[in-house]
Amino acid sequence: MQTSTLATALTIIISTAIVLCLSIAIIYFLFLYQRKRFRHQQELVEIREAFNQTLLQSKLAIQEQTLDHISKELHANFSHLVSLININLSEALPQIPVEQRENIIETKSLAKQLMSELKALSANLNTDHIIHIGFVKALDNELSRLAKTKKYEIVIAKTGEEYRMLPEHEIILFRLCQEVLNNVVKYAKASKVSTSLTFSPDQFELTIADDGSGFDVEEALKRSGEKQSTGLLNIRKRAALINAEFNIASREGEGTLVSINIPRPEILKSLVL
Amino acid sequence: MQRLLKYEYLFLVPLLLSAIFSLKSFWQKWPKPYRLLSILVIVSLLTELAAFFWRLFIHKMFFWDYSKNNFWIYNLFITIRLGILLVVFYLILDAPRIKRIIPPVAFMLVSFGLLDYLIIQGPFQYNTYSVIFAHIPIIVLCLLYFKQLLQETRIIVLHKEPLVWMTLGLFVYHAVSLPFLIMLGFLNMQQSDLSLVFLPINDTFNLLMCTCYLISFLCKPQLSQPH
Repeated sequence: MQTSTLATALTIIISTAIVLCLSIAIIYFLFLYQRKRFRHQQELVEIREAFNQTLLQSKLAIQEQTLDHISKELHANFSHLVSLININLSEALPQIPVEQRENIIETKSLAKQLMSELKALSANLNTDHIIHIGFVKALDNELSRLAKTKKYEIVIAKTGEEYRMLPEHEIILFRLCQEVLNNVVKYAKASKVSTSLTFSPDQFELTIADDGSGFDVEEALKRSGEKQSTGLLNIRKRAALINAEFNIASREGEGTLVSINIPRPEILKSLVL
Repeated sequence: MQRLLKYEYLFLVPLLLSAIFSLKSFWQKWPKPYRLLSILVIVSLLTELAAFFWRLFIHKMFFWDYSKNNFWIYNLFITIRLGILLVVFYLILDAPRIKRIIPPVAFMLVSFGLLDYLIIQGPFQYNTYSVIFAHIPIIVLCLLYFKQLLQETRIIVLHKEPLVWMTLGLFVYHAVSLPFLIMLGFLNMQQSDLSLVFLPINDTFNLLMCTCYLISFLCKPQLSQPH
């Protein structure tokens, strides 16, 4: 009886211990495997993000090169041609009958206007020029160009002591502003554009507001996926490149407010050009 | 009431807490499997309390005087619990073949459980047949769920997923206590002293399972779970 009791007890203990060990082994394997896979997937995500970042940077570099090229072409060839037109008109002017001279003078004035527009456009496209004059001046020029059309009332407000940021950051920031202003011209039907720049060591804040027709932001983001239009998404991605927070607030009929915040901007103490 | 302080009743603490925390699965509208698990935890608690108080005073309350034997409560719970768990696993497992197999097997197992309860072993003897036929499918279903987790393409943080904790508790308890519970009927008849010696094994893993219940209801279901 004693032996049978001991044997039964041993059987229960051993079988329980074996099953317990097996259970622990299964659970350990499950967690280990899952952890490895989790790490692997995280690495994949990181690689994909790094790749996208590089791709975006290359795209931006190519874009800058193209804009640079166009800018130089505008400055060298187109401006030269307009100058030649102007010179030819000046030479032709004395030989033209008096009653037609007014038309020629008008054409000369238009050619001059075209020349200054070309110069301004060329300057805004030229990366080196933007780096040279700085983001704030470049944005001022861009807004002045808008004001010259006489379609928009432009308001600019600056707070804090102005500073320069990393040149590549300033270029991206300026291109973002150009994209936003381009959208205002294309879609907003606005009559007033207000821009405010706030400089503080901890944060750089830029807002561009218009009093146009506005739009449903969520709807636009949804549609951008359907229509494969990547404007808003691209702006967001570019903003992320310089660690900027990009926000749009808009409602139909109530205008649009775009804000770009750069927390802890990389301020340049001196700019070597 | 002093008896409640014994080691064998320690599991009531995590069970009570998990029953309380499980209520959030209803007001936070967690998916169906989680709510069913919450029902399982609440039913477990009610069963334990009913069995405890039956022995204490309910058996001779009012105008009746029944036997102190509370096995009829535990035996009934074996089949109810199996039924709930089969529904839960039916909902969380994705493999179509397993989904096809579960309903007829569930019908057979629940029918056998009722038959054992009413006719074969009766309500007042511990239904060891039902225990075996309940434990084995639960162990298999837990393993199938683990297999599904291993094949899962989405990222699931295991230690934050309630279903993982719940399945872990169920798996360890059912797998480890199975050898002892298989022998329990035999021990009760032949060497009842020995069965009492080994009861702490069951109590320990019951405590572990209830702790897993508690942890699971302290987590939040991940969006990807279940499909």
